[in-house]
Amino acid sequence: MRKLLLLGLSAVLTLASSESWAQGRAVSGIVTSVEDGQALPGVNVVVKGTANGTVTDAEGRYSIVVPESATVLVFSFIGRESFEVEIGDRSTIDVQMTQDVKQLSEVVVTAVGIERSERTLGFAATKVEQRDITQGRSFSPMNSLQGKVAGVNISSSSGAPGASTKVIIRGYTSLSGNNSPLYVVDGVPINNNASIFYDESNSIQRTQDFGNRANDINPDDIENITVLKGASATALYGSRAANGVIMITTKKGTANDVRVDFSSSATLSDPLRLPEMQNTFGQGWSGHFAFEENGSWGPKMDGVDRLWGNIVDNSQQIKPFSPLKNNVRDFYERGTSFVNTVALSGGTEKASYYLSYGNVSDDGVIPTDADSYKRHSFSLRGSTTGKKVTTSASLNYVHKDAKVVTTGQGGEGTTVFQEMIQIPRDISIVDHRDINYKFNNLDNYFTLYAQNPYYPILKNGNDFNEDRLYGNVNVGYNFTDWLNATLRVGGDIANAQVHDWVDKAIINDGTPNASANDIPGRIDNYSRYTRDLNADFILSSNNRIGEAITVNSLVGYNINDRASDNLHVFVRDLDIPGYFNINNSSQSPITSRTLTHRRLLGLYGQAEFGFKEYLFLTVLARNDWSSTLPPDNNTFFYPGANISFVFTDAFDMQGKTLSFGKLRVGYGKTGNDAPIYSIYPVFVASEVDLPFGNIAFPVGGVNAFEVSNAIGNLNLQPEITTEFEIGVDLRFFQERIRLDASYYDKDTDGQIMSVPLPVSSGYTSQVRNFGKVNNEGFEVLLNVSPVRSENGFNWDISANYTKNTTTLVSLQGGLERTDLTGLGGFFVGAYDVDFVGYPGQKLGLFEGPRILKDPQGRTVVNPANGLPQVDLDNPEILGSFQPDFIAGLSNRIEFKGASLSFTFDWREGGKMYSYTKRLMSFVGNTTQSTYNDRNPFIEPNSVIQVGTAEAPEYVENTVPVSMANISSYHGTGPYIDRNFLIDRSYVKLRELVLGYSLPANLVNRIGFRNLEINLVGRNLLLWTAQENNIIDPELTTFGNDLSGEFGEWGAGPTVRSYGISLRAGF
Amino acid sequence: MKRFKNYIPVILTIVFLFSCEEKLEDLNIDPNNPSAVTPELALPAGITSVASVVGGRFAIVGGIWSQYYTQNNASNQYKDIDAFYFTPSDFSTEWQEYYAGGLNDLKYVKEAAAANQDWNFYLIASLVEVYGFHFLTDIYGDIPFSEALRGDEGLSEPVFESSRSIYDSLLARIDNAMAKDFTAPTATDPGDADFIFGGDIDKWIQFGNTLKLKILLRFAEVEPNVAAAGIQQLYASGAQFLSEDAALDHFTDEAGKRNPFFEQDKSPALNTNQNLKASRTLFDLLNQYGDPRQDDIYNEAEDAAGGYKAMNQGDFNATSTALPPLTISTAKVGPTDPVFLISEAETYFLQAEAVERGWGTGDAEQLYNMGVTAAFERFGEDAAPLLAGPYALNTFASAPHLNGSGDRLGAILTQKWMALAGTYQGIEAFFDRMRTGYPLVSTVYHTDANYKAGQVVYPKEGTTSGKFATRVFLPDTETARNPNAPDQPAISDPMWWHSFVQ
Repeated sequence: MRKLLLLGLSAVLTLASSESWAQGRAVSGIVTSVEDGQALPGVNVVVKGTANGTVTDAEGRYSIVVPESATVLVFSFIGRESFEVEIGDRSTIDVQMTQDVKQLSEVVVTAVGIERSERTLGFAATKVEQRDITQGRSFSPMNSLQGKVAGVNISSSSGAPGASTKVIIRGYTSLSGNNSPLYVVDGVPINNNASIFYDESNSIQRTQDFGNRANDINPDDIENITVLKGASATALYGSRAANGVIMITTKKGTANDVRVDFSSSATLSDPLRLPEMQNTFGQGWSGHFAFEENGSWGPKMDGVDRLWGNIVDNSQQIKPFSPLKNNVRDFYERGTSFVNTVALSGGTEKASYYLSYGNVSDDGVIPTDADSYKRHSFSLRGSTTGKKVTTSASLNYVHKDAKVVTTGQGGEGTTVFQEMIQIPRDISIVDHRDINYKFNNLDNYFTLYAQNPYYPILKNGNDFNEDRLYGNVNVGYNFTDWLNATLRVGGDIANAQVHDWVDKAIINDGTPNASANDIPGRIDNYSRYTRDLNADFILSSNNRIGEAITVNSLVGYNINDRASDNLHVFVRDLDIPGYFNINNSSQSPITSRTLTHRRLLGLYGQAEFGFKEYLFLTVLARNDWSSTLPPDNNTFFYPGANISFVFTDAFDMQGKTLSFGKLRVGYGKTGNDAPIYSIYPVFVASEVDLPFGNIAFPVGGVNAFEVSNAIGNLNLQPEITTEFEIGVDLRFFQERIRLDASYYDKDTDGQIMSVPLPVSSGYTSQVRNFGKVNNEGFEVLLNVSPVRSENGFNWDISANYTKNTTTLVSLQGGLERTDLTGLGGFFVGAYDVDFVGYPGQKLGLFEGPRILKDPQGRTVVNPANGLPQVDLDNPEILGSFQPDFIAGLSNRIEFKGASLSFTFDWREGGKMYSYTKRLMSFVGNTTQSTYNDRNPFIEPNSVIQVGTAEAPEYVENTVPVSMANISSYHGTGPYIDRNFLIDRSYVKLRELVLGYSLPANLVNRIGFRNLEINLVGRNLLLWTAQENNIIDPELTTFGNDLSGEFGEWGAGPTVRSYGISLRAGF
Repeated sequence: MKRFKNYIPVILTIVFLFSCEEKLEDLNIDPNNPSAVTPELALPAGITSVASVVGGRFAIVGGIWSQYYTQNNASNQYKDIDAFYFTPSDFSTEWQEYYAGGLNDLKYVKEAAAANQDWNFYLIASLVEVYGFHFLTDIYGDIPFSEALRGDEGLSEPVFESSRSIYDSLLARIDNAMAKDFTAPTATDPGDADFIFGGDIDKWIQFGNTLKLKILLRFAEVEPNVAAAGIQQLYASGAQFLSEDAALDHFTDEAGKRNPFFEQDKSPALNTNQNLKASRTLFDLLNQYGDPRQDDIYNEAEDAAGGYKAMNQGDFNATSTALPPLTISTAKVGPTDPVFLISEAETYFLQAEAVERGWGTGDAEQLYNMGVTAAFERFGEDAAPLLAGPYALNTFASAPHLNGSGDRLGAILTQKWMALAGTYQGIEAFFDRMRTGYPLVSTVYHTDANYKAGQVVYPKEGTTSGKFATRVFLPDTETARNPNAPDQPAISDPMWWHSFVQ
């Protein structure tokens, strides 16, 4: 936008000068960039001291008629250092311009699309440029930011194509289940719903992640991304911005220039981390070989040939009883990913256009296309600039077509990951590929406790299709040179269809597996429609009072209206195998429809007072009216203020060492309204939950409704976040070192959450304002450019560090504990490990069984079996999900068009629950399960309780854990779940890019404007804590919010990818 | 003035804003769920919740604890039940289905019916509610009662009350409900909404009397005076007892509409349907007498040899070579079988016991015979040959598995235990055993030559050092959220009405 204005301005200047050109002489030349030698179009070329000037064309060429009196030409371009050249008697002047770091970061798009000079900002705003967004060639713009922005925690929920990305800015503030930042594209909020499917009553059963919508944006269409973190930065966006804002500015056409840009990449992927398994003991249970077991609790593998599996047609299979170390890895195939974009852009001084088409085609590491993601995106943008009226419009269409592999425990239909990790260590998995082969089919598969892992991927599946249209229209009107009005209307409409099927799996009577349960099959169809509308009307003015004081102010009115319509139909008990229409069952389909509609109205204002370009005070406020709050109390007000003080300018102290110094202080509030439909009590269709299965009405031709388990709450109040932040921006040695640091402290009071109630109250939960959460943190971004040389050798290092602590400060009503079971609709919890909060402690604690100890701290075991006992009344806090810190390190070295960049992402500390480890422990596949070489042992330092319950005595334990109970010791004991919490630390090599940009003069000759080739790699290396040899700790199957911090339940692996990309401009 | 003009749009938007306010309010009314329903629509939900817990998960727990069934070797699902090896999260689903499911709905029906003076609905909801609370306190012990179900009044942390005091309240609630005027014109016909008797209020009155008799008999060993007085008063009032099953018989063989015991034990979510195997404790007794119900309670073994066979209680760590799983009979349960709240056989055995103890009037032997006959007729079997022989009350009372000769009470309760296997009421038989000590506990395990068929054994993999489980744990969802929850009792702590000393 700024660039456009600049071009417009220079065009006006050119016009103004046209009267005088008859008297001069012509000077021409070409302007290129020092860094890469590429031509620079749009550079202003002005005769110093006059208004006489021109602009370079697409090839960077200019031609200007200069008066005889002229001596100096001034070249200026946003983002470049201005350059003055003596004309002398030359008629050809070629110029190379260098990047101006100070200028580059100068203009920042802030809330409601207001562009402000960075020096005026009293809050932290981090801008990430195009190159950092696109060079790693991720399909997701947010994945590209991993490890690059301080204060922002970005994780990808799985390695599956199209998987959702979680972005959390400055910690979790809300327990209500939405901590995602607001995504704003060109000034208009978009919908970031995640399409994650799970069984609502038991979300550990089958989960499917089709991604979140912020990932729909084609990274190649993005000009830059600005992250607004604190409340005083985001308050104008209203309650939805309480978790920070990701402002995405898209590419626009530039004047006097028709450009075609093309980028293409091809990458391959492999599993990054697979569980490490023991390779000593083979198939069996309780120490004995058993051909039908799904575990490795058998004897030591001795390499001797053994018959194994079921006897089929009087034959049995034979193989050596020896480990197959890579039986799981061998299952996976190499994934492929192609990402292409072609864009056409251009314009005149008065109008510009940008048109692009992008596609992504991913097929993941699971054999077949059961994990695949295809995305087509079209973008069309245009703008006109008139004397009084400016308009711009943008329209984006995205079509997605995805298939995902179901994760979780199984339930109705098995899941591939869970089946695979329970296969004994001596049994090949790839050999089960032919599911019709007599030893591999359902009837005869070697075990009836697990299913052939190829079965779920070949017989079950899903298809996710989404069409999405989003865009906006902007109309600006300049009343006077100091007052203008903007109307900005945006819409985001999406329609998704999901088809999911589990084939009928019948095990025939009289076959070895006849006693396994049949899977009757199931078909689910979902139709999901969402419509978000957003309109802002803004009046803004820019005034100057005297020489020293500037006043920029605005008032605005916002309407945000969001609606959704979800229809779900499913049937069970299919009649025809392999046919997946909803009509394929004699049973009646079960249908449900959920409509939502909410509206938020806001009135806001902001005034920025500037004094002598070094002291800026901004005050702002917003008032919201929300439809989700109780009618009598549905409005809330939140103010903010911030100060920016450029002390180096104020005290005139710029020197060689300290070239720029700014201190900023901000205070702000934001509010968050309530989840929809939580104030009035309702009745719901009746359903009885059983430990497995259910009874759902109508039953016997009679329908029934029951009192909802959630109580309504007419006293709900909005959640209010109050944040204080202070920061510095220091630049040394002509910007060669730049340090940007912030400290913040924010309280979120009146936490709205579905609070679990003692069930004996007749209800399981109530949405309440229940407590206060505090986030306190410190974030630092350090950029260093150790080398910047004339010959084009540049080295830039960027490091960031974030430490955030989220504390549950208090709970209302004297509650001593809250469990976080129902986060965001998920059931978050394991068998015996809960996710809880205690006042005064870190939020998100894992609480699990405490092992019973005698007064001397010795383990009290069960005299019947020697297994440790559990202290039932005193569960123990076993840690928190929160990392001690997260940090990132990026490096870029360039030399004459060649470059090497890499980014490391480091997360230290915190815990997570791993069901993968649980299941592996249960079946004896973990490396830990070889403890004591699996010989009977006495629990170290253990005792047996004797005497009475009132006067217990303890004697030394002599009862060993027997062979038969070793599997219980590792896999099923009542204390055992605590062992499946694992350290979440990791260091990842996120991105590695080796690039070469061909010299401009060479590519120009063959008709290109620029040509660049890169070798790219993402997530190439992973280091984890020693105790975690199971999974990539970034994984989750519990959605992309706080619930996801609980851990994983039968997740697939993350992947490493590597490949080549090409970028060309014509 | 010129400046003022420029702010006109702002003023207009403010006007628009306030004009929107009314609409904002309407937007938050949930279009997806009704805000009010009639008692007819809530009653089936309440009855089904209560029945599905007793006849679902607790049909399994009761079946194992009454040793009709035992956990299969080579699979795992019910090991914890068979070995008394619990964690506090094990029975939270059932607790929730009672308090936040059935009992809450029944309370709503009761209140709505009372407001309309619709005493028919009031009676049904009250009696099923008492039935539910009675079951809850019998299996969990001290529980929230008078402060329970009042979360909507802001009372979300109810106190726990002693099981003994809850018993008094339950009896009072039955009396209160049965004293209403069912001929009042405001009393409507519940019809199809009554899942048990199709709206027949006379049968509900019989149900109320039978339930009261069942509750009063719990006092028999610990407070015999209370039991005697209450039962004598009940008989004196001319109380009629049930002469048929009080059962929920609305199930069809469709996912989500099946018998709850079948639904969860044979659920596709479990990878085997072999978990519940015939236990020798009941099986050997049936087998010894050639009782035809053996083939009705158990399935034929699935291996080629077929036939009916049982395994030792709790022997689930046996290797599959030593004990090939498919050679053992599994529990037989059908997808459309009813859930029995009170079975016909049970009502006769309750009366037989009351008479035998001298508190009720009638002929104990005749009532015993009616109980055995009803239990056989449940499967269309003929009890006459056995009743004429070894099952004749006085003969059975001297059978080797009882206390010497003439143990008529033991005979009634042992036959009741056998009868309840056919109606998946093992949990009721378990309560009887805790109350009376019948069936007797064997001093030796199944494998011992001196084992007497029909005596309960301590399960092989039991983890409680010879003490049977007497209860289940309070769920951690309750104890963690409710500061009024007591400390977790030990799994073998007796209830106040248990007289069976281990």
